[in-house]
Amino acid sequence: MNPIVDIGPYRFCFENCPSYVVDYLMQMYDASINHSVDEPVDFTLTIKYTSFWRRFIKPQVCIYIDNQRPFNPVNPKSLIPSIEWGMNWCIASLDYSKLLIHSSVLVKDGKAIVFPATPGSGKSTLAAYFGLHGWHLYSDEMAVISLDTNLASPMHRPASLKNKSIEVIRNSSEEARFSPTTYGTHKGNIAHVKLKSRDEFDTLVSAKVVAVVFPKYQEGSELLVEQLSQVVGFARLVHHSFNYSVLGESGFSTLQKVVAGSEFYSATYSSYDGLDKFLSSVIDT
Amino acid sequence: MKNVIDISSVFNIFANPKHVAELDSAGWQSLIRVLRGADLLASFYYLLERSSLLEIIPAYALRHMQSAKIYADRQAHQVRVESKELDAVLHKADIKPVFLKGAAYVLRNDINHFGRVMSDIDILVRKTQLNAVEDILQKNDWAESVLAEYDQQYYRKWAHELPPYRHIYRGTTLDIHFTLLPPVSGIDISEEALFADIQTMEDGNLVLPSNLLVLHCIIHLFFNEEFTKSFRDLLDIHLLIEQLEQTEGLDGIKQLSEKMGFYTELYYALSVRDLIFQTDSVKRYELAAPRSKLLTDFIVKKILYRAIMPSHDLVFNRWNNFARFVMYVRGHFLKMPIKILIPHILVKARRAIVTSVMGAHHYEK
Repeated sequence: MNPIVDIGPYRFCFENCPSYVVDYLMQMYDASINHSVDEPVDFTLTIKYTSFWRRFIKPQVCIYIDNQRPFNPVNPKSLIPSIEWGMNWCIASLDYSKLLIHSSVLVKDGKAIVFPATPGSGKSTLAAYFGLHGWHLYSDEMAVISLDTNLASPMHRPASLKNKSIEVIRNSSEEARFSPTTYGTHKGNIAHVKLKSRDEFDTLVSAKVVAVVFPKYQEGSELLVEQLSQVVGFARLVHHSFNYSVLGESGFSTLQKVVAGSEFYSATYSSYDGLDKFLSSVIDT
Repeated sequence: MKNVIDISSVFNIFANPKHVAELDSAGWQSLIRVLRGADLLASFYYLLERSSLLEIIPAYALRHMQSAKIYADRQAHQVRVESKELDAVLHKADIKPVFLKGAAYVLRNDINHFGRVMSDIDILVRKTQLNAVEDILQKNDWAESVLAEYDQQYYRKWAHELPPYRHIYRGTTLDIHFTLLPPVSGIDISEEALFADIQTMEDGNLVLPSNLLVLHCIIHLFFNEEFTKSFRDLLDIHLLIEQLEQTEGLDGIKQLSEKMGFYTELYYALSVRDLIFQTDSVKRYELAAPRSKLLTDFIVKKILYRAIMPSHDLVFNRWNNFARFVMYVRGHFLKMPIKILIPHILVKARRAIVTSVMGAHHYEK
């Protein structure tokens, strides 16, 4: 049977999935696999060989979502990161019923902090680190914000790590469960780390965004925090949103409410301890 | 959940949307996939809205259709904005473009524009204006799209068309035409006939008059090189013909098609539309078959019907692919003289062989 993955707000089905990818899914998503199997799925990802003949030498596979093929072909042995990217693509390109912001979301005491993705910011490492150390990681790739309630939804997914961050996170936590590493993708080496079981995930509820932090990792730096105005914050969130320009008025009104309830900071850091204290103080106020 | 839907139930639902009531969750899951693959999720939303059926749609299916509707509505809005921008740019060279196809449906507020998504904006200008159009576009942030060298040559040398242009900031793709068919086809549509009855919309945009607009849609279905979006084309034809029937009737388009030499295409389009959407215009307007009844029936039922199916693995098979190949070759025979067609088919065939060995995406940049 084709595996179904239920990540909370979305359900995916994978067709022609190689068995090692099924193993990966089992390992990272546990009881989210084939969860409520009688419900329809939102997106079906079909894995196809690019050519019958090429199967035998230098095989290549592509992922299709109905008739669309978002990525270049990959070696069938390097499919795991593409599976995760394919899921991201489905949400970001096909769902216009929610406001989506390219960012990670961490939650403590029911309050959410959004970390928009700026290149080299260390957003993913930060997300995985805090997800393993006292915070709930709602998403490491995009904030999914309801247009009705303006709350951020949790998704049951592993965090994605690349290159050096894989070792950083491996050294930071003994119990963290890692996927096998895929070497030499166009983004480098990729591994995933599991943060929650399905049971733990089921205890999470949508959370109000109270702050937006633009992180910047800088080796050896003291923690430097600068508060930004809501006007600047608004503009930067628009820039990081996947679908703000399509949503029109409802996107504006949701983003406006999120911004009005949030404080905005840029934070340069080198130690997670210092950053943790700052983030906790943001939640507490 | 298994994907279960067959093409006759998809067509049946389009012909008579109240049949959606018979779908179970598995049926909905499959229908959503087929519609998404055919770029018809949002069009389908509006079809159900016009039939007052939205209340009976399960939340799961409605969510996906509404999401697609939001995207399509936004695109229609963008077309209105982009057409004004283009009009202003070309005005600097004293040129007034006529909008074709998707953009025209939006600007004319045709029934089929609701939920219809498009990948480019098509405009028509006079042949003598082409150089000036290119010149003024290039001075105003539009650039030629990058194409494979062969395709570039095909456009300029053989098809005598401009390659697509792309707005360097907004990303909009623009196709510039000076006729409705590649001039190399030898089928000459006189510029007078094209520009004779151009309509001016309230906002000042120019579009084709109804009969010519619908005929162009039909020509596009038959002469297009790709049949992958042909069900969408047929839905356009169905809705536009329905619109014509409710207003001036079909006598005008029949006469126009005879005058311009596209009666065969009109007949086939209406026949396959009657077959799929369960309408009866061929009979009602007493249209005569262009060839023997037997041959016409064969072409409509065995070739066109199959070639037109939405291309989705759930409903499409190799017979459909064969039917599409037949239509592809026919389209090419009609529009290219043999001395150009043969080298063109040879290049495409070599590419097909290389693609089958190297993988489907070998030629992509």
